[in-house]
Amino acid sequence: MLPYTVTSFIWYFVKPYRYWFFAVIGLSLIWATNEALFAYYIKWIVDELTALHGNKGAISLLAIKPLVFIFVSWTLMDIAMRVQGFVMRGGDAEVSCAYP
Amino acid sequence: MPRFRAHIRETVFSYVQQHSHRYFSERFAGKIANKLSDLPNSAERIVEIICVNCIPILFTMILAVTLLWNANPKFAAIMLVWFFLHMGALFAFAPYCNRLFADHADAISTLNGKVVDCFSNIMNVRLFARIKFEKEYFATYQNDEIKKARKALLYLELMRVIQGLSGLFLIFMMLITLIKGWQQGWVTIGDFSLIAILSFNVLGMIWWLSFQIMQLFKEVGTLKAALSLVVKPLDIIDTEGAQPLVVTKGEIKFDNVGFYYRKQNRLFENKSVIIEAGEKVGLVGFSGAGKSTFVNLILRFYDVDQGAILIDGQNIKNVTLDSLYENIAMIPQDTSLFHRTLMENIRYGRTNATDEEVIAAAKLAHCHEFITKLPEAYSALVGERGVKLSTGQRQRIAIARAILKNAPILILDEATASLDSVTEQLIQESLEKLMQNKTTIIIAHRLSTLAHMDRILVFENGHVVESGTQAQLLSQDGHFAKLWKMQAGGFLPG
Repeated sequence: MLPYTVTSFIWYFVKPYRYWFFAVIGLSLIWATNEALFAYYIKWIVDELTALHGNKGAISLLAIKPLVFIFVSWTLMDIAMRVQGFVMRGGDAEVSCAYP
Repeated sequence: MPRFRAHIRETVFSYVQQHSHRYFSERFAGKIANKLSDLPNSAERIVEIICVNCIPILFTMILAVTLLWNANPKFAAIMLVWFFLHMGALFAFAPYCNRLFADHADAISTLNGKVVDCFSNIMNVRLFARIKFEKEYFATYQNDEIKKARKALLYLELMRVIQGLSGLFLIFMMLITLIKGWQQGWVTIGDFSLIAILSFNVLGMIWWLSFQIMQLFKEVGTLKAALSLVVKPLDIIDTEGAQPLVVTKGEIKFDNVGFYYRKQNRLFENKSVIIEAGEKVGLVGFSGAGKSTFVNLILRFYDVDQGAILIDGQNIKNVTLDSLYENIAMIPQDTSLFHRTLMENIRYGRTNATDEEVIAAAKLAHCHEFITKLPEAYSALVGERGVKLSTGQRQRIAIARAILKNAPILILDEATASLDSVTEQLIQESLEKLMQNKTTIIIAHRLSTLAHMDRILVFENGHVVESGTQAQLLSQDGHFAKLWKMQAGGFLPG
């Protein structure tokens, strides 16, 4: 007989594909990390700017590090979401369920 | 994920097909089909919500609280307290919401079942001019569905309002504390931007998470309702160690059989009947006398409550169901066909039969004549349940299928009742050939069709009250003779 409780039923069918689902969760954690870190990068830039006390010449030098971090983590997030979309929908649709 | 969904659909579809005759006779086919489609969709949505929404958002929440704690523990504390209150309220209200959506899902399934039931009986609707009646009948269920949808959606919106107010409360608390901290000098501009951005981010995510959790409860409700209908224990299954049925002669024996549809309504009690190998037996009696039950028990549509039914000495309970059906060909009273081509429908009797074998069977069953007159001949589609064909034509297809199957045991349930006299005469010859060297059971209301039977069993209230050839039974002047006299035009009343 097939499992008849919700959890056992879902696990029964998830089990053969569990590595795919773990991969989906792993990819989701990339954009989840970016969501939290983005605010931290902004704080980083603001902290650097306030520490300059009007020395505008050093701005580009100090801001470059957090900007690189923003660029890298944003790119990683975008790639993770595209790959996740492919895994979830078999490559035929965008990720519609992830937090917009 | 598409494979995951397909895997569920395939598995559940196969599982449902193994349910007993009783299961299908007590439920709407439309409702079962609806639940069958709910199962993969809901399971997929649940997994999606958990993997793509719940886990990552909770992870973001943990990171956010850590960052807030680094900036100032007060903000982390506000966020955590708000989060637990918000989620606590959600989980307190959600079960009721879940129940409302489960009720609504059930109302939709019932509605679909009613639609399918109506379309399956469209001829009755037309013949009795009941389109308006059906509209009103349908409206009763439609109104119930609307009522349940409104109730569920209203409650959902109410929960969303509470969630919105809760989010507003968080933002106010954070901003007030930030301004206060800025005034007192324990919040820097960098902290201000970090906390403000994080608060709005987290708020948006938690709002989304709440929405997704509501969806999750809704899907869980739908899945539960589907599981409770579809994933019932199978009541007629192969017993452990069941062996394939081997029919060498074709003897059928009812050994002290007891059976009831409902308790206290015993139909058969201590029934013992032997149908010899190759014997042709007719079953006669009024409706409800037990003829169809007798046949249904041989087909193991129901399990006997007492005793055993043996085929060539093998208890049918201890043989595999597939092998049992492989050895029995049945032509029912009202044949239903698949909406496939005529060739496919006839070939259903033996899937590896060649086109030539199919055509030969069709010729024997006298359906080749009408098939070749169709523009698409054997490639013609027959409509849902075979509605494009007449009852007699469907019956001849069923006979062709049985000819092709060539099983050692043959059961005919009023197989020729819906045929005209000329066709019946033609088919009778085919049936005679088909019946050769086979154990045959024929249920007949038209007693004249039983003239060539080796034996006739006369049923009354589940008991065999008379047994013998037609001539013997008539000479006894008993129950059969009474039925014979009652016939007008060759049929038994009701």
